[in-house]
This record gives sequence, structure tokens and C-alpha cells, in this order.
Amino acid sequence: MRTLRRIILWVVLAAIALLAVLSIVGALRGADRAKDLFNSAPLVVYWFVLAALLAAGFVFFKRLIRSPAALGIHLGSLLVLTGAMWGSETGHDVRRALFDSKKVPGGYMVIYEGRRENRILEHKTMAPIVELPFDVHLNDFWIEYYPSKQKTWSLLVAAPVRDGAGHVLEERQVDVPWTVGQPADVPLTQARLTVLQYLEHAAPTFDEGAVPVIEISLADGKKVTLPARAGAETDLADPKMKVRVIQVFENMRLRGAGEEREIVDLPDEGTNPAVLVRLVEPDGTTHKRYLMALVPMHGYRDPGPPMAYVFPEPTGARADPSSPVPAMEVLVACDGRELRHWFLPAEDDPYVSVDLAPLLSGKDEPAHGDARTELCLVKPVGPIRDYFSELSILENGKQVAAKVIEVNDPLHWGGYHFYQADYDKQAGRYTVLSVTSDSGLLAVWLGFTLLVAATFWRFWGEVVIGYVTQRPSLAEVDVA
Amino acid sequence: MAIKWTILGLAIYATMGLYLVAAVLFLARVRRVGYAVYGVGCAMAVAAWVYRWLETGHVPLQNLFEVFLTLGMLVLPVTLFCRRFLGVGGEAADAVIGIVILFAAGFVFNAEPKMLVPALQSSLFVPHVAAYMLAYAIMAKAAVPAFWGLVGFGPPREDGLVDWESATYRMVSLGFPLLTLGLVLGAVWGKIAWGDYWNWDPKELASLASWLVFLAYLHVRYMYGKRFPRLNCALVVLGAVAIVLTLLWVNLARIFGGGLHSYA
Repeated sequence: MRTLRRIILWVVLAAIALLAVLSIVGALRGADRAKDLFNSAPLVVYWFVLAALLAAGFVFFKRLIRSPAALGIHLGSLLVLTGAMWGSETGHDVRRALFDSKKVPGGYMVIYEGRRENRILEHKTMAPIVELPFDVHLNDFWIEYYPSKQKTWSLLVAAPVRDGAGHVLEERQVDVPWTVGQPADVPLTQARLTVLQYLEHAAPTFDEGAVPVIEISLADGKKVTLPARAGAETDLADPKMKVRVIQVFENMRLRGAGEEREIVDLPDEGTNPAVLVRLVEPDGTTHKRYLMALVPMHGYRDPGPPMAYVFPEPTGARADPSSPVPAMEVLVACDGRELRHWFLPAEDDPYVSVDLAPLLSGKDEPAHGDARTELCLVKPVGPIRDYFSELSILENGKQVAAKVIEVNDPLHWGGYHFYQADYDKQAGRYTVLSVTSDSGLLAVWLGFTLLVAATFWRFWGEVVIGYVTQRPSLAEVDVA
Repeated sequence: MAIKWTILGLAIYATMGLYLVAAVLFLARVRRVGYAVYGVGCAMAVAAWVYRWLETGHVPLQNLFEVFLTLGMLVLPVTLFCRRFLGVGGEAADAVIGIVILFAAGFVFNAEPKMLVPALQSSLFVPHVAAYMLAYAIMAKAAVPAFWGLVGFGPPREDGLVDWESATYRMVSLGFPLLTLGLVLGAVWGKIAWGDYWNWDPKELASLASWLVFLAYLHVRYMYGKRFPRLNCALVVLGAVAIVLTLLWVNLARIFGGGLHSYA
């Protein structure tokens, strides 16, 4: 028995040494080839031998049973090993071949925003390898950035790249380096650009006398305006009626429900500029109408003309230390034509742009879609902090699970984990999920826990107890 | 790699200087004065650590700079613990280990809060690194008596201290659970971040190899006890070499072609 134990221990030592050597070989070969090596047939034999050695330990070494710590360490190792073998590529292959299992060890999924997908693609070839019995739907995808160290917004030009026939092949974006007052070429175009002013903290300014107005479109196509101020009124000729401003709201809100419903102004709780106007027909019939500046409305029940509550367009900017956004005035010139433009981003705008097509072509009409050449003022962003995908799982078209996943936080469903792996870096329209099977995972987690806990117990806990009880601990006893 | 001209940076350099003086004094066998200087150095490190805490408003264990700063403060307590409870000396080596650790904090890692790539933003990041670095420091301390045990000569044994072979075993017993914890935390984190607890990444394999060397040592010592002290000691020296290679792997990996840890 003693000899047998010695032989087993020598085989154990040989197995440990072999694994150490192979690990170093694998480390030198790189992850992909190491994975192939450790999944190869001879190594499959090795893993079974290692598992058998651990199992033999419980039979031939009484101490492995009697000492809870030693038992935990070896049982934990055996659990990790068997769980890993069960969850390995080879493990999945064997179960697919022998037991009609459909499960694959993993792969990628590519899902476009707003679409659903159930195919898992192979890691390297990206060929579909299996269809899941459920769909994964990508509701939304977004990226979060660290704040940038750069404070100044940058200029870039986005222009279509065309082939010989004039078809748009792709859109290109090029940075436009700028210094205030120094003319520079605009890349991808024939235009030249001068930054006239750059205000780091700016608020928009308006023409003198420019005030919010109510714009009334008459039947003959003409427009009349009425200052948006309570009490202002005007007489219209066609249709013949009187319009009077009753109330001006900074933030119009609906409060209460049913009969109790009332319209109130809550200036501190947001922004929804609106006015209440009264229309009086010649026969004395009156109508009330609410006009919201942010939500122009077209349907109305009264016989009055179309109206809109219009704020004046800003015509410039001034320095305002309390403002979080900058402003930039540029002059762009091309073939003797000039465009003067103020970039006035709002607080949450990632960028603001101006269409250069009318200036470049000399035609006074905006270009559409991918034919546009735009000059953009872009907010600086730091490195990517994280990316997020809002996923839902659909079974027979019905949603059964949903989760916003990020890099360290996957979704678990149907025996697979779905990880945020990559995304469409060109347009941000699709996300790449890494899908991994959860087979054997429970055994591995349990094994890890046992292994760590028992190792601490064996080498720290038993020594502390030995010290406290004044008895030599197992760690201090030389067994052989 | 940059010199930190801040109060914190200068405190770290001062600590390194004091540790160096202490190490020289220990080697010259001026133990009392050596301990005094070592203690002042440690107090300086504690001051730097508290300063960091006050400056940032969080316990300084959030990034690699802070982990190494904390470890640099812990070398004296580890020395005292080992001497008092384990009968293991080696103060000079400990002070040198402290210098190496603080070198990383003082010159290599950025004290500024770093913008971590998404995969590194995990609550397991700091425990994983901290467990490993503490384990590595302890294994480095184990390698010193192991080296004397292997070559068969060294400084004379002081009263109350155990022999080289026993000292080695006790240090490995202290460090091995931490080494195991670091390996397992790395695997758990790998599962959460990359989808797999084991990716056959070169650094994973290198750290597995060093864990296996210590595992072999523990089995050999279980089999033969102290019958072949040189073999025991040789295995621990080999383990320490494997650890150094694992640590340097970040740089070596660029030669052999990347891996998950190539950002580290």
C-alpha cells in the first residue's frame, strides 16, 4: 500500500510537471494555438488521467478524506477539472455527436439595432453554426465616453466619396485644424474657411426687438405676426376674426385628470413654452387654442387659420461664463460665394452642423441624405468608458427576458451567456455579442469556491488553530 | 515611467531611501538601528497612504498605484509577523522587496485616476491584483531562505529562528492561498469580462505554471518532508523564477504576439 501510494504520488508529480511544461509551451505559442493544444486528443487523455488521479487520491489516501481542508482542496480541483471538461469545446462536440445535443460552446452574434437574430456564428469564420430556439432583439445600443481633457470643440467636414458615375460610395469625415482668424482649406472640398470667433462659454443672442411671436398664416398665403404677450390682439381680414393672447406659459403642464384636469404653468419644472389665444368670430362665437413652441400642432377644431408660436432664431452669441457650451462663428468661401455661420450648440448636442452644399454648388437648395457635405462643430469626447446593448429575448414572438448588458455584465438565457463584445465602429448600427455556453459552469464555480476556501483553511486556518490550542498543526507535521 | 514631483511622490521616494538604508544596516548586522530606520520608513509610507486617502476621499485600493502604495506600507508588518509568529527572519530582503514594490508605485504607475478600458472596470480588478502582488511579495521572501538552502551557505541563523528549509515552507504556506486566490479571482473576472474563465492567454498559462511549481513543491514536501532539503528549496527558487517570468510576461508577450493581458 505504501509503495502504491508512493507510485501514485510520483505519477501526480509527473502530471503536475507535464502540465507546467505544457503551460509554458502554450504561453509561448499564443492563446489560439494553446487552446488547440489543450483540446487535442493526447491532452484529452491527459485530463482524464488527471481526474482519475484526483479520484484515486480519495481511495488510497485516508488523509484526503479525514482532513476537511485536504478534502476540500482536492474535491474542488476535481470539480473544476470535470466542469471545465464538460464545458470545453471537445466536451460539446462529444455530446453533439453522441446525445443529439444542439448546444455549441459559443460564438458570436451580430445584431442590428431594432432587429432580432437567432444565429450563432463561428468565432473565426463567422459562419452560422447553430440557430437558437429563441430570438435576441437589440432594442438600443449606445456608448459612454470618459470626459475629454480637451476643452475646445473640433471642426470636421463630412463629405460623400463618389465613384466615376457620381454614385456615393461612402461618407468620409476629416478633421479641420483651425486657428481663429487664419484662413484654411476645407478638406474634401474647394472651399476655404476662417474661424472668426470662438467663445468657450457662450449664450445665443438675438436681433434687437426680436421677440417670440404668434405667426398666423392667412388664406391668401401671407403671414401676420402678433407679439406673444398677454393682452396683445389683432383683427384678421380673411378669415374675419379677432385674435387675442390670453396667457403666456414658460412651462405649460396638464395637472390632474378627468373633470379635475387643469392647465398650469410650472416654470421651475421644465421648459414647454406655450400661449393660450382666444379667437372671436364676427357673430361673437369664441374659441380657445393652445400653441406650444416645441410641438407645432396642425389639427384644430375651430374655424381659425393655422398659427404657430415661434421663437426668434439666434443671430449671434455672447460670452457667458455660466454656459456649458461654446459658440463659433465661421466664414466659408467658395468661388467668390460666402457663407457666414454661427455654430450654437445646445447643452446636450454632441455636435452641430451646417450644410455646405448650397455654397459649394452655387444652387440655393439643400442637398439630401448622403449627398450632403457638412461642416460640423464636434464636442470633444474622451476614451470609451463602456458600451451598452439593450437586449430582449423573444420566444415565439413574446418577450420573456430583457436586460441592458455592458462589458462586465452579461445576459443569461437558455444555457448561454450573452456578452457585449464589440460594435459597429463605423456607424454604430449593430452590436457584436459573444455567446458562451454555461455547461459545467456550476461545477467550476463550486470547485473554485471549495479550492480557495480549503486552501486558506489548510495553510492559514489550521496553523492559527494549532497556535491557539498550543498543538502542532497539520501544516507543521511532516507526514511522510 | 515618470518621476512624481508631488508630496506623495516625494514621500514614496523618501520611504524607498529609508528602506535602502535599513537594508544596508541589516546586512551590516546593525539590527536595532536598522529596525529604527525601517520603522521610520514604514511610518513615512503610512503617512503617504493616509495623505492619499484624504486627498482622494476613498480607501486607497482603487487602482494599481494605490495597491502598490499599500503593499509598500505592509512590508514591515509582514516582517514583524514572520519573525514573531513564524520564526522567519530576512529583514534586509524584506526592505529590498519594499523598495521594489514602491518603485512600481513611484515610477511605473500613474497616480492620476486612470480611464480604464471597459473590460477592466470590475470590482474584481483590485482584489485580483492585490492578492497576486501580496502573494508574489511573500513568495519572494520565501525564495531568500530557499536560495540559502539550495546553495548550502548563507548568513548565520539567529536565535529563535527556524532553519532555511522550514522558513521556506512556512513562507510558502503563507503565500500559496493568496496565489490560489489571485488565480481564481482572475478566472472569475475573465468569465465576467470576456465570457470564459479560462482563455488560454499567455499570462494565464504562465501564472498557472508558477502555481503548479509551488503545487509540485507542496506534494514533494508531503512525500519526503525534510529528507531532501535542497530539492525542496530548489523547487521554491524555481517557483520564484516562474513568478518573475510571469510578471515580465507583459513585456515578453509583445515579442511573442499579444494576449488578453497585453494592456496591463
